[in-house]
Amino acid sequence: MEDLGQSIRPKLRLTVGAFSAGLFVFFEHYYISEVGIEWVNLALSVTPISIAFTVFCVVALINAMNFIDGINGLASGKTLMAAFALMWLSNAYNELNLTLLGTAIFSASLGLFMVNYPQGRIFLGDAGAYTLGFLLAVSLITLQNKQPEISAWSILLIIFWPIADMAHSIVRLRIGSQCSDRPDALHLHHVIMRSLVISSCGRIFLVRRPKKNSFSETN
Amino acid sequence: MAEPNFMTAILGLALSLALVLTFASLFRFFGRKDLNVHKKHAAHSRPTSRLGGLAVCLSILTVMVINNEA
Repeated sequence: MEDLGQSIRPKLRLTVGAFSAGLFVFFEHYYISEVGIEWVNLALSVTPISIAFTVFCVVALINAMNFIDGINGLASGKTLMAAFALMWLSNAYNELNLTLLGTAIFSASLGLFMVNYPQGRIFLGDAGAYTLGFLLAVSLITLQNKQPEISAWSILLIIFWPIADMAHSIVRLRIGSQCSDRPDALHLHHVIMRSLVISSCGRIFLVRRPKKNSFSETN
Repeated sequence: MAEPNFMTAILGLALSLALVLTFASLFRFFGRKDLNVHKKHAAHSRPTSRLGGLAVCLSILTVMVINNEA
């Protein structure tokens, strides 16, 4: 609905995301129970905490994918990489269904990427970012549950960028006492892109046009 | 269910490209200038469809269904 011009409150989006994650946990019985940190693993051994943490992580990734959908090719490119990693890992561990899902996400995202980057003829949109975030989250959780020998850190590495970008934005807005659900152009990817442009273009931004008055004075 | 192979990827890519290009073209011809322009994309010079995700989701769904039928 957001992509068709109707505004939807952020709290409602979060609630729907949490509901979807809850449905996944309820029907599939896959939770995050191991994150590679001893005391957190101890807390996650309690099932309700594990379920709540799983729902939180799924909602976080759903929103993180939407956060990075601010530059042409970033969200679709990140989805490409994550889907490729999912495909590769699932294939290595003979998980046929997850390999198929990874292949489908990868190939479909590649089609979008070719049109989205660099000219931005079409955007991923909120619907796409939420759906792809949800698909990636549940498939990675499923993979880690089916193959516990896969390190939780490797799963985190696959989705590191969206999570880091979202964490940066939330911390920045909380420190500045601003509302974290409003879009702006100070996300981590915006800042990095600007710094890359400045470092590659040198002092180009410091060159100013001559003022009209000064021009007429010289004439 | 058939094992995913190179053709699965090609099918997904072709479907996705077709849908994405269709949505982008439809928006160019019929889209309202003020529609689908989100605040975060306001820096872009022209209004652009935000239905790329829908195209991707439809492609994924179709690939999964076709592969399950095979």
